[in-house]
Order: sequence, then structure tokens, then C-alpha cells
Amino acid sequence: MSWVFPTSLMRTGTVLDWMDVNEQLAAYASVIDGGISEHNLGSTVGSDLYTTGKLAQDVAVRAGSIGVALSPFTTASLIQVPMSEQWTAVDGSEIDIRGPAGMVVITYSFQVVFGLFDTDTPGLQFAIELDGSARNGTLLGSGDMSNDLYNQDDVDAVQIPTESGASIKHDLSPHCVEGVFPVDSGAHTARLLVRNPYVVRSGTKPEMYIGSLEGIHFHLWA
Amino acid sequence: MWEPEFLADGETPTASKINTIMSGARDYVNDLDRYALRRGAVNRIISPHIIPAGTPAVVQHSATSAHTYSDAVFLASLRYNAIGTNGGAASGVTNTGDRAVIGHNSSGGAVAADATISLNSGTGYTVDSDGSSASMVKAIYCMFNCAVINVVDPSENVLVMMCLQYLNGPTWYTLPHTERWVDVKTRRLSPTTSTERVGVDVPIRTLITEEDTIERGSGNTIEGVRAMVSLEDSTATNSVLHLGSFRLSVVPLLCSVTASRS
Repeated sequence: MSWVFPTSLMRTGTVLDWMDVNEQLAAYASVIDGGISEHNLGSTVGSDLYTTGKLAQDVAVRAGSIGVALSPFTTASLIQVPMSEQWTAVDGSEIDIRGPAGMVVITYSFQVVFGLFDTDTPGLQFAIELDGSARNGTLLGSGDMSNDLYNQDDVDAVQIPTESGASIKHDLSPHCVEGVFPVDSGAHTARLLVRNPYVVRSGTKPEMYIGSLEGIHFHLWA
Repeated sequence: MWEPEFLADGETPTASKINTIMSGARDYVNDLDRYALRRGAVNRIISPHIIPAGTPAVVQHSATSAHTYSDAVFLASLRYNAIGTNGGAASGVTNTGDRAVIGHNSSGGAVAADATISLNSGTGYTVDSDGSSASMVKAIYCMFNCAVINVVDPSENVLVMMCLQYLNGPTWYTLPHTERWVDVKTRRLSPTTSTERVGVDVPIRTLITEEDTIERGSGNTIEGVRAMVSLEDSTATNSVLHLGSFRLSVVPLLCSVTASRS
């Protein structure tokens, strides 16, 4: 309340001026009744009371994307996959997630490139890693070398009933790995993992690469 | 509203009258809560909007009939040039560029609409970094799948490329990190049987942000999204590509966003 009441105090011997008392009472009443005037609001207070055209900081979705564009015909620039039976993180796939507890939807959309027209390529598997552990529910690719070829017109004749997906071993193939994970508040890290279940231990080792890649995440909370 | 019992000019100031005035002021102050808003009365639960009105948008072709793309019809617009090349052939337009829209009306299939989505009735959404534009859209999530049935070309290894583009002004800009490739010949049981159906799904997911428009050197208003196809055909023989079902979904998002492109 910026209006001072009373504006002056009576002292012993003061002669009462009723007009003065009434004016002070009127000012007091207007303040008490919420009569807001230029004395109550600063010139910039409006922008503090409401916002226009900007999203609040507590929006319920945070989206993030990391991406790299690589031509499959320039193998020197591609992301090479090591010949290893162990999970290895794909370079450039790291996603940083920070915020309150909730859920995270993670999608990796990427290109797999083998040495073009190399028929001796082993299968690959992919999975999403969150906070240091591979999430097996996101596993893509069986690594089963016998289950790669199928004829859309005559499936039963060639497909091996392993109840697993086809392995990833074609020269050029696009893939997506997706998962939904509950997360606590704080910082989290997701990466795309790759491994090579059938390691070629001798002879010419195939060239295996990841090409263009995009990692997308949606962080949701209540 | 409280009206003080003002004293009239010339009125005798008795203790009683002054007490009456001060009692009125005291009671009013003490009763301020009587008409006050209950705590939290002006609060209401507001569910944050995640998407703007009128979205998402979807275009699809789910019939079993194939749509066909031959070098003879599409000419240079089916001859891949380089990663990230902008533009290309659209339905109803002369074949130009090095890629053609999927579902093009020259593909001869029973495709109701090509894989093109106009956003916000063509006005588009501005994906600025701080969300201060009127649309308040910071990112556009795109999901695309298309089935490659086969490529008929017995003489060589033809490679199929698909990608997504966004429209800003008169130009369709390619999102280079969405370019996806499929080889066909090595998937056949018989490499010499060129008509064999291989049936490969091409999944593409992307989040279009202001980072993309900066990287492509365009304005940051996304007026449309479309899916394109092209062939890498080094000997330029008359290859014929058959595609099957496709579906393009586009979801503008009211969100905060981080993005990094390289």
C-alpha cells in the first residue's frame, strides 16, 4: 500500500479540521476497497503478471533431437561398427535428458551400411541403452544368419521358424529402435548400442557402418 | 464498498461521533475476509496443450496396388544426385530435381494423394527457438513408413533412397539426415530374378526444429512436409521401382526443445 495513512498526525493542541479528517478517511477507504491507482502499480508490473506468446517453463513435454547426415557412398565419413560381440555405443548417438520424474520416449532412426555388395556380412543387433544398461526390450535384429532371406510370394518355403526377427546384414537397410522408459528426476543419458553376435574371426572382415542417424526423445511428466 | 460516516462541516466533534467513525473503520478492516476470495478460488486446473488445433495430419496409401516409378517416365527426377539436394518432382508438376514425391500421380498406381502434408492450411508453423511466435510450435515430429516391393532391373544393383523434405516459401528443403537407403538385389533369393518381391519397410522418424532451418539456410516457418524417393542407378538403364503402402504422419508440438545437427 503506497498511500500513507494518516498523512499527518494530530498533536496536543491541534485544532481539528474536519475537511482534513474526511479527506484522509476517503483516501483510506479507497485503498481498503481495492481502488488501485498509479500509486499501486509500477509501469512494468504488467509484464510480470501475465505473459503473452511464450511457453511456460513447466510445459509437460520436452523434445530433443540429435542428428547426423552421412552419405553411404563416402565410407570414410561413416560411423564404423567395431567387430565385437559386446555392446558398443554408436558414436554421436548420445542423448542427454534432464528434468522431473516421468517417462521418456526414445527413438533412434538410422541407416546401416555394409561394404556395398559384400555378401559375407554377419548380422548385427541394436538396442537402446539408458543410464548405462542395455534395455533388452528394445532389441532389434536376431543375429540369426539363417533367417535373412524370405520370398514375399513364397514365405513358407524359405523362412526358418526361429520366432525371431531377421538379422541385419543387408548392404543398405534403414531401421528404427524405439522404447518407453520411466525415469526419476535428474540427469539421464541414452545411447544407441550395436553388437555383432557372429564375429568373423579370420579372413577378410566386413566393413560395417552406421550412416545417417537421428535420435529423438520426448520427456513427459505429470 | 465502505463509506465512512464523514463529519459535516461545523458539526460538533464529540467523542461519540469520532468513536463511531473509528469503529466503522475497525469493523471494515476486521471484516475484510468476509468478501475475500477463498484461497485458490481463481486457480483452475489447466491441461497444457501439446498440439495446436487442427493437428495431427496424416496421408497414407494402404491399398495393395503398387505404384510404379520408371526412369522413362520420371527422367532425371528419379536419378539421385547428392545428399541433401533440395526440390524435386511434385504431382502435377514437370519432373525436376533428383527425387520425386512418393505417390506422384505419374506413378500409375491407385494412390489417392501423394505423400505431401500442408500444415496449418498452408500457413505453416514457425519453429523458433524460444517459442515466441504466435504458433508457439517448437518442433514438428514426422513419422514415415513405406514398403519397397522391388526394383526391376536385371542388369545391375539399383539402390533406393527415401527422405523427408519441408516447405518454406517456394522451396522444398531436404532434411539430409533423413535420407535412407535400401539395396534390393542382395535381398533376392535369386539375384537374376528381377521381378522377385523383396518387401522392405523403410521407416523414417525426424523432429524438425529451428536447428534444421538454420542448417539448411531457410526461413523457420514449416509450411508442409513430404516424402521423396529416388534411385542410384549408375548405368542409367531403365529401372522400374515398385512401391507399396506408405503413411506419413506429422505432429506439430507445443514443447520445449533441444536439437543438435551435424
